[in-house]
Amino acid sequence: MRCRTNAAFTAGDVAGILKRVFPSWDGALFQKYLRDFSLPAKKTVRDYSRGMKMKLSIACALAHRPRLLILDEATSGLDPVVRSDILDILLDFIQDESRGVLFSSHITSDLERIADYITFLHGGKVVFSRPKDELRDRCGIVKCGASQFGRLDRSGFVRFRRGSAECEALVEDREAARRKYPGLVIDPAPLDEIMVLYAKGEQP
Amino acid sequence: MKGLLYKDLLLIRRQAKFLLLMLAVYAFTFILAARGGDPVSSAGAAGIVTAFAVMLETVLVINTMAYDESAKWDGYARTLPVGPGGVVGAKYLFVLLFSAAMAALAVLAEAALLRGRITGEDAAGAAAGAGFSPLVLCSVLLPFVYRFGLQKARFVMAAIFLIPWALTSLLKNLGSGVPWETAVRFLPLAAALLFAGSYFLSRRLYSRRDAG
Repeated sequence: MRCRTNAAFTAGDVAGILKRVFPSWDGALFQKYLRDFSLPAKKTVRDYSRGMKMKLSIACALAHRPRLLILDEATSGLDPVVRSDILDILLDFIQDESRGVLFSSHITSDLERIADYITFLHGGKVVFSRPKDELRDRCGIVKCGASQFGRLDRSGFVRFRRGSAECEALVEDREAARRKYPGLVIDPAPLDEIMVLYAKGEQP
Repeated sequence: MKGLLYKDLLLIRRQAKFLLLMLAVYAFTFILAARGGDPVSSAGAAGIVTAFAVMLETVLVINTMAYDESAKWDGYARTLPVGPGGVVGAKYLFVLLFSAAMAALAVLAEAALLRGRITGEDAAGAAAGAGFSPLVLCSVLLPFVYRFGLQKARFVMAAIFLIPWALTSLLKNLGSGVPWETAVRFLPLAAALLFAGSYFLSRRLYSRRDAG
C-alpha cells in the first residue's frame, strides 16, 4: 500500500487522518514504527527521502493491523541499506503466521531473501508459481560448451539456451542431473537465471 | 468520512495566513462601507459579508480539491473503507460546515452594523445571505468538478459566479406581483433540496469516474 496523502502533511497529520478512517488504527503502534524507522513526526512528508516515504507508507499500512499487505515494488529505487531495512520490517511482520505479504518486485535478490512462494509473471501470464525453497533446493543449471551440448540427451531439460560458446539448461532435479551427466558442471539455479531461461529459453 | 473532513481542515490550516489576510481586507472594506450608518451603507456592508462568504468558501473547496488532485489523492482514497459516499460526503460536509460558519459570521457582522439592536429577522436575513449563497454555488459547482475534473470545472466556476447576478435581474424583472415574503420562507427548503440533490449526483458521478 502506498501512502498517497498530501506531501504538505507531517507524519503526525497522516496519523490524525488515518485514525479517523480505520477503526482498527493503533496510534501507539504507529508511533513505535516512527521511532523504529527513525521517521521525524514533525517534518513534512515532502521533505522525506524516498526511502523514508516508503517506510512511512509501510508504517501507515502496519498501524491498522492488517493481515495481508499488498506491496507493489516497495523496494525499487532504494539504496541497499534502506532496502534491507524494509525487508527486515516485512520479515518481522510475517513472523505471525496468520499474516501474509503479496510483494511484487523486479529485484529477485529481495524475493530470494523474504519470499516463501514465487509466482513468475511474463507476457501477462503466470509462468510458474512454486515454493521458493523447492526452486532453490531442487533446480539446477547445466552449463557446457556448444559442441558438448549437441551430444546431450535433452529430455530432462525444462528450458535451454544455446550461445555461440556456452550453452545452459534448466533442470528440475539437479541431483538427478548430476547422476545423468556426471562430467558436467551443474550449479544451483539462482532465481533470476530460472526466470530468464523460462522467458527466453527453448523447450526441449 | 471524519478522516477525510479532517484532512481538508488540515489543508486549510496551512492557508491560515491567506485566510487572515482576506479576512482583514474584507473587514476593512466592511468597516468603510458601514461607516455611513444609513440603510444604503448597511446594505452595502452586508453585501460585502455575503461576497466574502461566497469567495472564501468556493476558493477553499476548490483549493482542497486542487491539493487532492496534485497529491493523486483520489487513487488512494478509493482504497479507504469509506466508499464513494464517504469521499464525496466529506467534501459536502466541509461545504455545510463552512456555510454555517459564514452564516454565524454574517450574524455577528449584522449585529455590529445595527449596534447590537439585532432582531431575529435581521439575523435570519444575514445568515441566509452569507450561508445559503456559497452553499448554493458549491452545490452547482461540485457535480461539474466530479464530472469534468477541476481544470475544466474552473470555466464552469466563472459562469456560476454569474448566477446571483442573473437571479437578481430575474427577480427585479418579475416585479412586485410575486409574493416575495412567502417565497423567501421556502428558500431554506429549496437550498436543502438543491444541496441534497447535488450530493447524490456528485456521488454517482464520482462512482463512475476512473480511479486517478
